[in-house]
Amino acid sequence: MPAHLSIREVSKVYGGQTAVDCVSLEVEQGEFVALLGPSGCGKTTLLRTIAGLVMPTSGDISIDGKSILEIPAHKRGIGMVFQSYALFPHMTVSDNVAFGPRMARLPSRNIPELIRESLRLVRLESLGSRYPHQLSGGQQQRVAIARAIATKPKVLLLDEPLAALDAKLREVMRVELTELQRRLGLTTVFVTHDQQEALAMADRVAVLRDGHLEQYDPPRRMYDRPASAFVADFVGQMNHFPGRVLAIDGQTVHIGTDAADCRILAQRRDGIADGDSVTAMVRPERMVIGSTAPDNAANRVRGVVSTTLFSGETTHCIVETQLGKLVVAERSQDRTADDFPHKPGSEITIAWRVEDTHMFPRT
Amino acid sequence: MAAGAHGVSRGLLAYSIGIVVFLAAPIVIVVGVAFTSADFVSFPPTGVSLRWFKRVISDPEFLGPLWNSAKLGVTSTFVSLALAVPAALALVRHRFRLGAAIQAFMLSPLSLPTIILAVGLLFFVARIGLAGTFLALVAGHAVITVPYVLRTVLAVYSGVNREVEEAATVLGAGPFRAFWHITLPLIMPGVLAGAIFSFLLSFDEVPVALLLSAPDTTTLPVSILSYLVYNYDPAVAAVSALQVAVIFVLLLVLERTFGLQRVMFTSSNK
Amino acid sequence: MARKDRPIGAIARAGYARAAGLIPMMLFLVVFFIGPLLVNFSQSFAGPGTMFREYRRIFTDGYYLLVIFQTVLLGCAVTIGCLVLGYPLGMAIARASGRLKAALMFAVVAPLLVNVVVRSFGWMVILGNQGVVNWIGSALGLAPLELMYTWWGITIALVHVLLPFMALSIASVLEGIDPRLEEAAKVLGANAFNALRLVLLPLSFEGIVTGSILVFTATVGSFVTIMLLGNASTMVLPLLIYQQLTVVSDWAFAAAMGTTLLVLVATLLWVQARFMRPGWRQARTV
Repeated sequence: MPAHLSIREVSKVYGGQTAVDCVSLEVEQGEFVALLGPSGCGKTTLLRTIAGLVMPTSGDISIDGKSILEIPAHKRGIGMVFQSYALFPHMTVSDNVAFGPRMARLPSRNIPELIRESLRLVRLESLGSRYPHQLSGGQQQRVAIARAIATKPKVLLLDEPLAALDAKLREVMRVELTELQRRLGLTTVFVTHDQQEALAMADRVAVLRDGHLEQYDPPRRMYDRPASAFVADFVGQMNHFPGRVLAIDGQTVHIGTDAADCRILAQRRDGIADGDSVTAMVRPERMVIGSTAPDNAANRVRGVVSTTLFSGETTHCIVETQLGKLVVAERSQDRTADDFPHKPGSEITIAWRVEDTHMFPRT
Repeated sequence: MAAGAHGVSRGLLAYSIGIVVFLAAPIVIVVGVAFTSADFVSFPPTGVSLRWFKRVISDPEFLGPLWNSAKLGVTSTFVSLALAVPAALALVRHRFRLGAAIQAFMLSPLSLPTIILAVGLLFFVARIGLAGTFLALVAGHAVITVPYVLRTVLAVYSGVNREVEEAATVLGAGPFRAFWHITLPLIMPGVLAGAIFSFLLSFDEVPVALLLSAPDTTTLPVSILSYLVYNYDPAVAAVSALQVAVIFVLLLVLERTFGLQRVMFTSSNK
Repeated sequence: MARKDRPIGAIARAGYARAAGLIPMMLFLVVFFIGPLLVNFSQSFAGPGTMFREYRRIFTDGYYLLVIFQTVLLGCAVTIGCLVLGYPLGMAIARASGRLKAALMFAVVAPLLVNVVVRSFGWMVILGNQGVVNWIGSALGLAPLELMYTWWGITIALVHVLLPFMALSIASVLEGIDPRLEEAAKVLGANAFNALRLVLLPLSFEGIVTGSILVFTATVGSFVTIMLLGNASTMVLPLLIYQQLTVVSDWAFAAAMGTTLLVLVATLLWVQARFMRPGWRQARTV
């Protein structure tokens, strides 16, 4: 039942504006894929082309090998949850959920059971006779999900499903949604601008920027090995060091920054040559403070603690150095009570390994 | 219930009540005259009787036109609905380049004194050979009523979330079924309000009916008018009272379902 | 395998079908609304004699010019009457809420939908020589008033018909004005009259203009009321047109007068459209 979704070189141009620029993605059966990016990057437009609400200017979309572009939206067998939930205000919850099966002209004796099952999956069995305006935001969202899955669609699409919920509810729903998807094994594509959400929920993440596909990888790989400066910066946090390649020594690249005598060492990669302008980036949690730095942490810089920000599990330390203001992230429990938090004004050394320096060409 | 609590001062409230009395006076008086037992018009009525109502109900001079007015009202309302509902749907969901201009054009008959339209129509239908026909009347009334229906449906439909219709589509409803199950129920208050208003306008309309009707297609207002030009007796009052009753009831229905405020305030008055 | 520039697909077709919903109404209005206006215009040139003969008849004859003048004067008088009487009513509607508001609106709108013939008949009863006014007057020992067949009677009756439009126009604009502005004026020392004059009136100017134009165009277009309540000495343009059509059957002349009336109304609407530029709206509270 779950389908393979194939998007090939899909573009959408509105007048002079390109909303989606030649994007290609393959979504495997039962896979949970996130379309991630800032506002206006084309992710919602792309989602709507899959649904059939928007016609791509060029390219092809197919399910299980067959193109669906000529199939009108109401015959594609796709389920969709809208950002505004779009529940039918004049119908009860049960009627909302039953709408899809009714449109599919399923035998009416099977429908009550379908409704029950869908509502059970989102844990709203008892609210069948309520109207949407009588429900809370979180409940409405679950009805929207139940309604979309009641038709047993081949592909499930979600447009920023958690955006309207408050922070706590969002965390809860993240888990529920992920578990639901696993249980149903539905091929799912969901759109979000929240990178934490994408990393947490998806099997693979597609980062979009100005209509382009920047990278399409499983979350861990995307986090550890971002393909571009944009992805590196958008997904997770980064310390930035704009600079220039001074020398390449075997596998190590020496990067000089505006700070006179401080060099950053990075691993060599293709396409970067002597003299090129680059941006070096290091994740805050890869930087280590003081004596606990491993010996092979060849990047070292001295600095003065400016502020520390305690956020429960993590503590962020802002440090003024020759290389600029650095953010170092540590697990709070890694520090003893004595040297925690680092007092503002205290001098410390920060170190990180060569392989933890990301390097991207700078235009 | 202190008037001040409503934000309306006592003086203003008293004034308003006075004006309301002024507005209602002629109508109340007409209804009062209808109940008179005398042979002539007098107010206050010299006795209470239903004789004029009985006279009027059985009089073909009024019954025929009443039937014509009802037929005309219903037909022109249906025509208006058939024209205005699709137009409203198109205007709201599509960004036409000249959208504002088109909408202004479609609402323009509202601003025109109907006598001008009536005169033009008279010449027009004479030229195309439809003079004196029921069809001509329907066309004339539809021109007058269609902007009202458009206005109310536009107002209601603008408030319908686009994604609700899209959701219906993705869930498997083709264009017609999406309209029938989702769009139509949601715009129904506007449709009904427009329809009732349209019927009332047509029922009351004089200039077009006066110029375009033939003896067999006379409408009620026109027959009352002709009667009045030559006679002056309570029969007119009785017919009028009946008409007032019909209007009153329909207006109450309109108020309960849609709310008069939305009909009158959703206007190019802004 | 990319397919470039595909032909119109199912989605686009549905979109065009939707947009095409506009066509029936547009066609209908072009045929049955613009059509008659154009025919009217052309008919005014169709009389015997030279092309502008009918128009010259209107504008060189003292009687017709008088009729036009009377029409416009009546329009002004009714407009002023509606403004003076209707503004406080508009205020009341705007400020009321809940049940009172619904009741006021119903009471104001209901008379609008009663037939103009019925209402005119009612006024005939009230204003007639044995009518209500004189009945009350004679009870008080006053001499009988001749209100029928006079401009006064007509004006009163027309104000009665059109007052709701003015009141509703004003109410709808006043609703958009922050009530705190008036309070601020009072705190700063203005009494009720000055608060009205210096704060409310300027801000509700747009509603006044809209209401006035609405009332004026309706007045210069009305003839049923005048036909029933007036006589030969109270002639207005629409009634003259009607006479020319039905009694004299001089279609070309009637068409010319109709066009004159149309031009009069259209000019006013154009003035209104010019007035309603956004600049005038700046006085609302943010």
